[in-house]
Amino acid sequence: MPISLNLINQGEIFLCEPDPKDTVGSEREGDRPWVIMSIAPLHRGNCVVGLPLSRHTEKAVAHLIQVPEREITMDGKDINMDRVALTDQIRARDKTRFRRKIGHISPRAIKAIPLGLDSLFGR
Amino acid sequence: MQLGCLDMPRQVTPPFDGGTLGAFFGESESVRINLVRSDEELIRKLVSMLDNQLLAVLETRSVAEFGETRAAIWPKYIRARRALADTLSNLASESVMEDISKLCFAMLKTDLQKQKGVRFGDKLADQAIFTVWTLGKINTLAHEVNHAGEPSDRDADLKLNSEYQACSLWAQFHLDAIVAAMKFKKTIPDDVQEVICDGLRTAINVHVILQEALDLRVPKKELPLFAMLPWDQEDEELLASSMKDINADFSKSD
Repeated sequence: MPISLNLINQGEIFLCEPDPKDTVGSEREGDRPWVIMSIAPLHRGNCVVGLPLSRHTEKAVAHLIQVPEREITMDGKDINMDRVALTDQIRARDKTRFRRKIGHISPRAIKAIPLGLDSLFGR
Repeated sequence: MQLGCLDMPRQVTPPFDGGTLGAFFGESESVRINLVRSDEELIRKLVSMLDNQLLAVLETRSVAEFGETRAAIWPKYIRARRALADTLSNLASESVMEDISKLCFAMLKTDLQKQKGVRFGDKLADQAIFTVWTLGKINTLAHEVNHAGEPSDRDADLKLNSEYQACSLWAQFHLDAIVAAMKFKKTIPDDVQEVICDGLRTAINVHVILQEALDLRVPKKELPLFAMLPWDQEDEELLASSMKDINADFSKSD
């Protein structure tokens, strides 16, 4: 079931279905964890801005920021592990496609990821 | 996250520490010259000492050996590094030191680019280049912190300072190791390169810590309040497009 549109905040992690043509409902293997980087007051329409968290920690180099397990809190039974914030995959997400919230990253991680984005954007 | 430390930007130290040694130079020309000469000699000795410590870790051939050697030299490294920073700050003005830092960062970045795939793997070289870039951001942020007034919570600030010092030195050590490897033409085993990458990543922590230190000094700015911004068909199509390409990017890769 899609989550309420009003309950999406910066730093929260959601499972996002990879293909909008699929029926919203049961969880599927292709779901990816996305962390929200945009702030709620500026969300427009159904659009939020997020980036995927990969479990392939070997990708963590330069602007692809490693987020250690201790900076991630999982809400339920989902396995916690080190992740890599794929900053170069930042994009608009349709929040109606989020299946469920699975956790959040720490305030420190929220501050760290934009450093990778700064680098990506040449700032 | 593993936050690490790098350069220990000079300007960050005063608000936290009690001051620097050697603040009363200059009673006479001869005394000044002698002191400067002795400082220069001291710098050479300190650099040589640091080189020897770094060479010891660069001689190691395994992760375990690297870790043991690093732990063994760590206290000496910290003392030598701090002594070097204090001595340099006695010899040069803040603006001169800043100019030198910028020049060093630029040269180091160029050198690291050249070493890519030669002395180091791409990953270590890229992480080191990113770290040097982060150092520039750290210096800018440190300058802001030092000119932002008193922290709202002194205890929290002291805790941040402690983390800052530890992380800065940790990242600095690993960057120094890379510089020493280039200077003495040493190769680094692949698995040790991974450990050095981890150490360099601590620079990100330093940047985060400084952001928190700034937050303690500067009240949060109010977000601008916008009226409901329009959302039209073009937005809808763009959003759908952004969602559609996800399969191509992530299939079998997460």
